[in-house]
Amino acid sequence: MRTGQNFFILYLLLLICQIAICNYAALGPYLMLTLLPAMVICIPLTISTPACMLIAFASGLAVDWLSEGLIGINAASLIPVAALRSTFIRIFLGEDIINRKDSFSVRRNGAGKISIVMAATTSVFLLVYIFLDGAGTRPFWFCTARFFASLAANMILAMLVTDILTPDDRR
Amino acid sequence: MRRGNFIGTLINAAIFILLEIAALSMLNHNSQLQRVWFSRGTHAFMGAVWGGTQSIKDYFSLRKANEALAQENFELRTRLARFELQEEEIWEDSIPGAAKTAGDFRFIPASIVKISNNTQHNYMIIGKGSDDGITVGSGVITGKGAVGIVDAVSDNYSYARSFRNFGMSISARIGQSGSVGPMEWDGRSRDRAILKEIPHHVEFHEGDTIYTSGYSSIFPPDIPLGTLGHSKVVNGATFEISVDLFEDFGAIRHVTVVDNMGKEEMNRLEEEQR
Repeated sequence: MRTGQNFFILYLLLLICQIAICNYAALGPYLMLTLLPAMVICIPLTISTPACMLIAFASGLAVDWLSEGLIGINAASLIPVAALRSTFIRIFLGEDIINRKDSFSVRRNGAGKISIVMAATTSVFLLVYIFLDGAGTRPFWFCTARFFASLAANMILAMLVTDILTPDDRR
Repeated sequence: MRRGNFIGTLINAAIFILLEIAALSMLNHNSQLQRVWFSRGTHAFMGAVWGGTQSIKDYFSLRKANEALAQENFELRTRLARFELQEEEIWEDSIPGAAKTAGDFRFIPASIVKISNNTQHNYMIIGKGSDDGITVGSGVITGKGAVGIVDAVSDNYSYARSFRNFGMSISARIGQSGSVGPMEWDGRSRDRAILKEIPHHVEFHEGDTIYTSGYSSIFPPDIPLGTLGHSKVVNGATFEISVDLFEDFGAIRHVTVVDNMGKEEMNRLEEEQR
């Protein structure tokens, strides 16, 4: 089983990847790639929600700070994901995981369920992000198109991140 | 356990709000577009809050507003009464000699102090009495008809039976020189009467005007009363004709009391011949 130390090293590496994506992977106005929601949802359940929110805040801020974006936008979008992490896991993966503070994985819980969790968390992140980024200046159809295009692209990234961060699948 | 969960939820919510505010304030400070947007949103929110607060304040200050309005209403009513009094004086002054005579009739302008309209036995109190020359049995008229007969007088007031009273009739004539019959209130409508005992042979049409006949010691002749409506034959001998009155009894304010100066002599003569 992967240790907490390993998890946080991987987490930091993924964070650097996210910074790199933000700086170098400009894919147009309709597509924004993010690893952050999947990274936050994969934070071990032994870490409480307030601590998870603090990690999310710090992660978002680091990405905002080190990439040429709006400072605070990733942080503001990621905090709701952290706040809803337990709720999503409880709803889609079951109460047991929360009670046992167990970890989840694609192999143990099935790709379907995991992808639903990822879709939900990524949706929350994207909704807040697109809403704040548009600042009331973008038309509704543009925001909708951006949301669905980004959700589709990020679902693939989210499954990859889950695969990297959840321990059982790496044996 | 539940209490612990509740406190945990509260802590989570507090941290969430704090972090979110921190992130949004950073966003606000670092982007012009977002700053303008936040500022607009904040103003809209504050406007709604202040508007709501003002509405609540207004609601609780309604009592004060009502008192102020009542006071203002009272002052306006006082002013109105003063103007009405002036108007009445001007109206009376416009008739040279408050009491005027025309033939045997003496006309006394007066105003109505009180009037009842909603019973089967209606009356009116007139603001002039025996000191002004009004006597029992005087008629009460307006420009649109005969409206009552004085039944009792005091020094300053007179009590008159309204035409809208069961058992009261006025002698009326169809047209200026047509057939004559008694006209009575129909007992139901505000502006309808019935002209009775019109002989079968008399020709008339709907819309013809009827006037006071002058065949009484109370009302002078030729005061327009109303127009004829539909008719029906009663007992196969006479017509009963509906009359649409000109006068709106709900809106009478000024009247003229008519006193037949030869009334007593006529009454005396009648009694002697009985």
